[in-house]
Amino acid sequence: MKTNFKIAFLFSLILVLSAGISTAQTDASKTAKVKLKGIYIYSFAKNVYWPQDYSTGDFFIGVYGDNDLYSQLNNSYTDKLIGSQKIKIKFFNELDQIKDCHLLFVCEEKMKDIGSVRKKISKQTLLVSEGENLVTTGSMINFIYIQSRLKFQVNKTKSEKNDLKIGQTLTKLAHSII
Amino acid sequence: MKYGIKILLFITLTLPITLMYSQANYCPEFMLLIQKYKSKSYNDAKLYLDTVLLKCPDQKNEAYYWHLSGFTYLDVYKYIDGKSPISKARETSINSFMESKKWDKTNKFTVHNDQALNILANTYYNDAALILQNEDTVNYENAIVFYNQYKDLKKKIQPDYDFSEKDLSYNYVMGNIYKYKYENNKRYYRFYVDSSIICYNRALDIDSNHYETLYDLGILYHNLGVDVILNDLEVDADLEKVIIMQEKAIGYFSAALPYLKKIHGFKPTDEQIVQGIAAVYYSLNDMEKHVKYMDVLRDLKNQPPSNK
Repeated sequence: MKTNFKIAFLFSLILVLSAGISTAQTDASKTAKVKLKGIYIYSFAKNVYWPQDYSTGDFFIGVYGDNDLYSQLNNSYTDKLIGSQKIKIKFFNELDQIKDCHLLFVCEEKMKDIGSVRKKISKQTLLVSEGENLVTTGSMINFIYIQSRLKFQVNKTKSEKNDLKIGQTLTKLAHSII
Repeated sequence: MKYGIKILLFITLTLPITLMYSQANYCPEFMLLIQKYKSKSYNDAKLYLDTVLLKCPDQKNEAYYWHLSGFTYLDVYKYIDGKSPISKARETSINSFMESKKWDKTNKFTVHNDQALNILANTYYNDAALILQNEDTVNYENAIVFYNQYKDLKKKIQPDYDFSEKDLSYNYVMGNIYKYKYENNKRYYRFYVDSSIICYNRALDIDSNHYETLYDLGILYHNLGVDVILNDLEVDADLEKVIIMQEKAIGYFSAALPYLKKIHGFKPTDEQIVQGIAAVYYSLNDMEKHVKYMDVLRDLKNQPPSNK
């Protein structure tokens, strides 16, 4: 019986921190955020309509500065179709690497370059940013966090002026539209 | 404990023998049964238990007969079956002692019956403990059965026994086991999460400040939030679904925070907790508080070990 009671004693002393928190916790959270952003960007691509000239060949999504997002988009969406166009993902680390795309995402760290970015791309490039607000970014879609939720703002006026038609899904679900 | 049982047996076996001789319904097979038992021929004693009932059917209403039956099967369980958790002898032993208590109108055997039943109850507890101690996700259902058997029996012999401490450990470990089951296959074992949360909450009902449970429940909620996005959300999901799933994730992240903050209050220098809170704030995109807790973490890491 002695041994049994020892076991019982051990049981009552189980003090195991079973799910150790490490940087992996934050890493997983970061991966989730990147994935969420990727899904939004893919939805933007699906719900914005480009002029006829842009509806042939491959569909290019450019990412300026965010390598994790680039990898996520590249792994999840490369060769998926937008209409009849195959998605191709491009990554730009430097301003002078930026070329025309159907959609260009500028990450928060590169927002200081947004003015220069605008000058380098055609008007038909859907510029997606993550700045404080849509007006200051001068982009057509802007990511913002409202009460922990990732949301987006749409500059419908500017988009339409540049022959980009914003679909109803986006206008319906946008946090704000100008 | 071993010597205790031997002394106890000596008393309980020798005293009633003299009584047996004086009784009108003298049963010679019973004498043989005692002899077999005393010579530690437990299997033979087991057979004689049946013979006694066959030859002397009145014995089935005798507390002493059942008392001896209880000890015979207890020893079969211990020495022949090697305390195997699947030994049938244990259950028979319990039933015999209970039967002895039923017929023991003068409480002649009560103390020893209860002592033996208590030992048997503890064997169930220990069997449950062995499984739970290893956080065994394969045999955990046996642990549930053993633990319930332990409690049922213990309640019979000690109705006012306070199970709080054991229930706390049991529910905490079961919470962990269900969590591991979920983590082994997040897609198909989703339902284990609910069981895990129920068990953790039961543990907290017993002790609302139980550090380990608060910690594990907090982390579980945070991980569930991450899992909603990483595992449940398809990359080509509609935006409507994305918004719903994001709400669900935020709900989990928000649920994690009070548990982690509570234990941070208990142990402000625990780096894991600080890191956990920082991770939750990161998930909630409250970068100001994320940075604040990361700064706290950096300060803790820079402290000499003696200050921690």
